[in-house]
Amino acid sequence: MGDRFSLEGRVALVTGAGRGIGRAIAVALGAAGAAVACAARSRDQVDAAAAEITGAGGRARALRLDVTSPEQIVTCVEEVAAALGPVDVLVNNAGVTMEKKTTEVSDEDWDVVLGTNLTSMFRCARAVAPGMMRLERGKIINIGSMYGIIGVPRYAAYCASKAAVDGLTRSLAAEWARHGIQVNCLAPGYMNTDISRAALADEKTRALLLSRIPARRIGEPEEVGALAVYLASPASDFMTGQTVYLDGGQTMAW
Amino acid sequence: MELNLADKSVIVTGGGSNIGRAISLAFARERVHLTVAEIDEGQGRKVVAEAKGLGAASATLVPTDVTRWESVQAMVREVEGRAGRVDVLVNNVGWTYDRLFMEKERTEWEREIQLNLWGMINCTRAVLDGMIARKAGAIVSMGSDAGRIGEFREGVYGACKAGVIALSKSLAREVGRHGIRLNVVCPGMTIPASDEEFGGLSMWAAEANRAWSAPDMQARIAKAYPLRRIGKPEDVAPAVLFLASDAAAFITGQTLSVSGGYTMM
Repeated sequence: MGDRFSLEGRVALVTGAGRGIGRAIAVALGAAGAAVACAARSRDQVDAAAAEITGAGGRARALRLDVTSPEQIVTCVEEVAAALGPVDVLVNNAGVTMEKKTTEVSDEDWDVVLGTNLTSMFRCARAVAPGMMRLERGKIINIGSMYGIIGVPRYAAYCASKAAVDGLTRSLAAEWARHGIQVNCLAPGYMNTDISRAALADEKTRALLLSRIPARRIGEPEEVGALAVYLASPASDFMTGQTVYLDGGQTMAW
Repeated sequence: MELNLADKSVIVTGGGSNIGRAISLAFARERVHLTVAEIDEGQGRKVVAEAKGLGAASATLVPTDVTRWESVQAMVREVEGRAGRVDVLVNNVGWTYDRLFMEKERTEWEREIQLNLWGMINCTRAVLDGMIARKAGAIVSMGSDAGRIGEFREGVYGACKAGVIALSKSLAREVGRHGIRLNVVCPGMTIPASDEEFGGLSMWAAEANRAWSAPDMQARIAKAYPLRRIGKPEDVAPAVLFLASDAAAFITGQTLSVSGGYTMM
């Protein structure tokens, strides 16, 4: 069975690969045998992510990418193809979060969150799909969130963007299934990353949060990596249009 | 990716036929201590022999009727005595009669409820004492898209599978604090590659279900799946292995459709 979870010979592009969940996914895909293009805005961070993969004996490239730029997305996909080969696996991970009273959210705030979290995913998918269709295989993993299905106050733009990722996932899955492309959504709950750690620093908040998670702990970025490998590998070839919540059981949507 | 399942004690109910067989053999390749809990001893023995050939740390048939609580208790006691524990339970036994609700006999509903729901309740209840004591365990149950979206000719069967999903979620909440995870995999129609892959007691051998094997029926079903083909037992097994493994340590209460995109929700 191990071989069905192998990514040997595959090329993966991970957006937002500089830190947190994106970086953990990039490292896990690299360890599973994929050549990984690590893309993010920060040059230092993507260099470090790529170095971690090559240091472990894998293949990787660091690429600067601001996913809010349509031109950079097109260029990035071309660069990956030239350096590593056509993209077999796209991980749409780059995203921003924003906590604000909705009455204080400006039009610009809203556009930044939706543009980064949703529109960029459509553009990246559109950019890699023709190559995947030529290969007659491909995996697109969109990073959603538990916040896409539970209502969280002061996160209107973020929650809306992540709920929309589900819709995007299903539509692309239905449209591209005949080309051998599987599109699934990986939706984390509270994870041990910089963003969550800040929220969990307060002991009372932490206790309240953990009481709502059946597993009684938050997740580790490495656990997102393992699920991403499953969704990127032939092991999941008959699965498309699904959202998998990685949240210790906090949300159990039907 | 390594799933690190080697030497785990794994029970697969109905592990002799079709999807259960593929799950048993996939676990065997991961070198687990495999228990095939089967009512069909002949079919179970065949799969146990194959499992040994594929590298299982051990493979044992325990004749089991999952609808009978005493039989299930005895099976779990046997495994715990022999292997020391149960790390993974796969509730795979399933059964349906391909008939409209209005055309089914009450005895057929009762058989569906016994096998699909009582079987899962019995086996799950029986392994939980040990799992709670050891504060670890993974239970993967076979659901069905019929239990998520409703399906023609699968009314009571779908109701049972919806029950499997709901019970898994409730228990995920109740026993998550003990380090135990429950998840559900929903295959679509999944056809065996040959008659060797199921026994005479499998629902694939039932007269009521003959229509499924007709090529034109299979072509019609494949058209309804975005991936344009019917599932094979080997499509489903990796999802079960993944959810059973520590790679899915933070995933619980989830329902995963592995059905070519038939159901997306």
